[in-house]
Amino acid sequence: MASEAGDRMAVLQGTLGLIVLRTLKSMGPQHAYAIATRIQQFSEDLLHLNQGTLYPALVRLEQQGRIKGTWGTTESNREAKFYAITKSGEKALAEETLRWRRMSGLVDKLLSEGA
Amino acid sequence: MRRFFLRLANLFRNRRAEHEMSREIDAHLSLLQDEFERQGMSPEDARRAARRVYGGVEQAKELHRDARSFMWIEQFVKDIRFSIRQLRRSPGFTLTAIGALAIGIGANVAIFSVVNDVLLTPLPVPDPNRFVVLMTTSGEGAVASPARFIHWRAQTSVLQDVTAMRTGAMNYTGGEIAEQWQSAQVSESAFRAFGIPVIQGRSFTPEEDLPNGARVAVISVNLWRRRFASDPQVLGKTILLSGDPYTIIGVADDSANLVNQMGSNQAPRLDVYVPFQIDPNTRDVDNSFFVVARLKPGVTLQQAQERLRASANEYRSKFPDALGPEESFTAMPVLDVVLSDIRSLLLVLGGAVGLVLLIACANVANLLLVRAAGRNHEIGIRLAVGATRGRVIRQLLAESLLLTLAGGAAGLSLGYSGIRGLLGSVNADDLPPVRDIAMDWHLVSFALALSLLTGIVFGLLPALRASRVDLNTVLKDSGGRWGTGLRQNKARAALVISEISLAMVLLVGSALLIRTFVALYRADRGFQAGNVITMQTSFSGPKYVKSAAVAAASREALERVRSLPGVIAASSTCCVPLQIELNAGFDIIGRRAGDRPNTGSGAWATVSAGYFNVFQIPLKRGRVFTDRDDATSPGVVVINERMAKEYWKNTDPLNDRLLIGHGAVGSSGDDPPRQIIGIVADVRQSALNTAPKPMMYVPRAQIPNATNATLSGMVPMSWTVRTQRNTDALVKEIQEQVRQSTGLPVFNVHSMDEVVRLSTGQQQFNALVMTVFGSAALLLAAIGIYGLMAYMVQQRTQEIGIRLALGAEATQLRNMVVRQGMSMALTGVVIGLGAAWGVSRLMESLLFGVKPRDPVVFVVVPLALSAVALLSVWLPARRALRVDPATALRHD
Repeated sequence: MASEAGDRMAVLQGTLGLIVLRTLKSMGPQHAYAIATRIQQFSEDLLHLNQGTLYPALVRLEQQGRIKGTWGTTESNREAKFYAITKSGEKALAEETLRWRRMSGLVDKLLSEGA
Repeated sequence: MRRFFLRLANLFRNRRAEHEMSREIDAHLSLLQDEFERQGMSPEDARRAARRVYGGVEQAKELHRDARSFMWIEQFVKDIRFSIRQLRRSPGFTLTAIGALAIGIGANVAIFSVVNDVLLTPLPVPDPNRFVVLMTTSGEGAVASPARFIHWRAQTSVLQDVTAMRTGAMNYTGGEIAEQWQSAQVSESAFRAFGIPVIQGRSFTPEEDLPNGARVAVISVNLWRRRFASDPQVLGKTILLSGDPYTIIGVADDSANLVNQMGSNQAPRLDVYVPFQIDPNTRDVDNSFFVVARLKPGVTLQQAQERLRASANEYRSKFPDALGPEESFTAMPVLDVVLSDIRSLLLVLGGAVGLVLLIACANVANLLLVRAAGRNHEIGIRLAVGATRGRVIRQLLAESLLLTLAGGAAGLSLGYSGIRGLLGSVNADDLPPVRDIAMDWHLVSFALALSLLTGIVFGLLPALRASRVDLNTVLKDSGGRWGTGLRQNKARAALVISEISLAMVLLVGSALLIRTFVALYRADRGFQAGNVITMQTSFSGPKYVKSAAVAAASREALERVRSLPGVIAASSTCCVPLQIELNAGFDIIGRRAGDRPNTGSGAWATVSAGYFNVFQIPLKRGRVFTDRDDATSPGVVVINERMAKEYWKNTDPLNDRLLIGHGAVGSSGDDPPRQIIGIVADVRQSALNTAPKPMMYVPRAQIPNATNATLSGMVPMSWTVRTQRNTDALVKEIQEQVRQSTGLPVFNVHSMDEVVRLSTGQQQFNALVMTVFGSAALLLAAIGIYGLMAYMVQQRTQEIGIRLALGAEATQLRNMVVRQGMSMALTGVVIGLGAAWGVSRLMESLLFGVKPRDPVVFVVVPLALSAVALLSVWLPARRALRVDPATALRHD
């Protein structure tokens, strides 16, 4: 795994939910595969996503009521579950984004000071 | 909250959730596969590529499951899995613990199954607390006369369904072969009083229950199936019972067999019920049957008892001689009567099994303590890396619960099959009315509750103790030896000491019961049972109403039997010793009657000539009966020594005549005056553990016809034959001669030795059960002390090694270990001795021929227990001898 990952990054713990929410917010309802593809495209393949790991995140988000899944069919006529962000999901996204910004700002600051 | 419900729902809809998950993963995979195909891969390659990109499907599922369910359920499962692994890793410990628990819980299950049957579902009648037996406060007790029955039945303000009942046997001669049927004469209210459903036809009408009423019969469902092949046309059929035609009018579902359980302590299934037909104007005051009734709705037991007491005077004014001035009437719940005999037995057994369980638990607690001490290092590490104390306790509790549940399951089957085996191995007739011990939910939940309770109580202490470790100490220690401090060993020593003292109490109890059983057989019973054979025939029906007919038939049959080679003596009697004891009151002619209606009362039996030879009962004075003492000759009676001593302090009984009457079985007061012609040695008639009471023997030929008829209805005639040797062929031949001579069926063939054995079923059961418990306790205690000493020796290997290296003698070290172990054992023995001294009195009512503080028991049992303890200590102590100093010093 490690060698394959190369200079790709593993998903930072706790951020997968945020990323998924963000993706759904900007793209509208999507099925898991589309979300995975989108994340990978977006990160220009820098982010290594073991697509299977997406599921626990989706289930957790659904249990938290932040997204809602419904079964439907894709353009290619495959059945898949489409997830959409909910109201509470949007609220959580806003909060989490804020928290993340603060966090990353803090980390940036620490790193630059250390340099 | 929503999440909570979703997760909860997931728990319960696990299969649906699994399905949902597979569906979603499949969807994802097929989308991936589509993509790869679009990139030009073959479907097969695309599928493989999709799987690769997706990662492990099973891992994904596992992650998914984690997210889905409660963490603690998941951890619980992990705890259980981990526990199973741990327990499997040390099979010795696990098996010992489960074995100990199985013994402890099994013993409890066994006794509980009896208690469950006897106490929790005591009487299979509706509303058993309102079901009473009517009785006289002294003298006859529960035995009643027709006059009393009519009097009681008139107390309609407090009682209803007043029912007379008498069980006996009737000869069914309608089939291809003559058959003996167990019968009951009952009042028409019997089926209501007992709550016996009549499933076909009807029960008796009040008219049928009057003298000269129709001859009708209700048969049992059992007989209906067996004899009439469940024929629906059986109603209206006429059958010949003891020579009289009876019309079958109903089939009763009497599978509970209650009527007969109350009628006698040996309770075969009843086959047929016939109406009692007591005359409402009867003046018959002779007591020969039982009366039960139901309390009228709204009436309390006290009210009924008061009314009955008050009614005694009304009765006395009608029948002046039939009730002594001190006597009165009362009602007692049938339940109390049934349970009174067995209450102390159940108390003792219950106490005994409780002790066995305590010992087993102490054993397991000890094992858990030892084990927890051995795992301190492991627990310390777990705590150090962040496990909470609760988590560790939960883990240890899971282990102990798993143990006790396994022990409980083993105990359940052990106890269940054990009690069935035990009941099968002894004669159950004399036991508490155990009907059918079944594996029901009572039993299972009892075992489960017991397992959980012991698991939590005895697992919690070691768990709490183990989880309270000092990380620094533990982690610095090289592991394994921590927790060997004095305090820990003290706790274990205390457990072992209590095990030994509890075992001591149990062993004393079982020793006392064994001595009781032995004493029963050693008791001077007054008759010689060896080579005596007994069998029975029912002389009932019109042909045998007259006593002369019975006596003649008996004489004829006996003559045939006596002519057989190998027969030494033969006789007939109503009442074989240890089987039946009948009682009668008597007046000594010429003496003033005392307060009671009769001058005295005693056991009473009809015998033929030769009876005293058969049982080799020595004649002390005078003569015994001959065949010439018949209806035409003057009345004669033979009494026993006890009676002679009690009633003739200064005069010679052989000069006196007796009037046996009131209270005599079925006699209508017309028994002739009888000259006392002989005095014989005392015989234990009712039971081996009951001292002989005054007894009268009369020839069957001389009893009044009314007495004869009642007697025949109550008890069959018993043939008693002394042979040179009881061979099967001879027994068959005797049976055949009696059958041919009388033309009646012969049944209940038993050697007299068997009769003796059957009569001691209760004591045998007591001794057997207590011995099983005592041995279990001994075994558990031995395991306990062995385990502790072995552990201590192992712990001290290093110390022993150093001592050896410094020049100590190996035997000295061994003796040191033995001394330590034995001081524990002896402490337990002394404490147990004191406890046994205190509680053995509770057993008094179960004992015979031995005092609760029997010196032999209180010397032998402690010695035996100490010997076993010594053995259990010696074995581990010998290991101290084998310690190699070089190895021991390196031992960590």
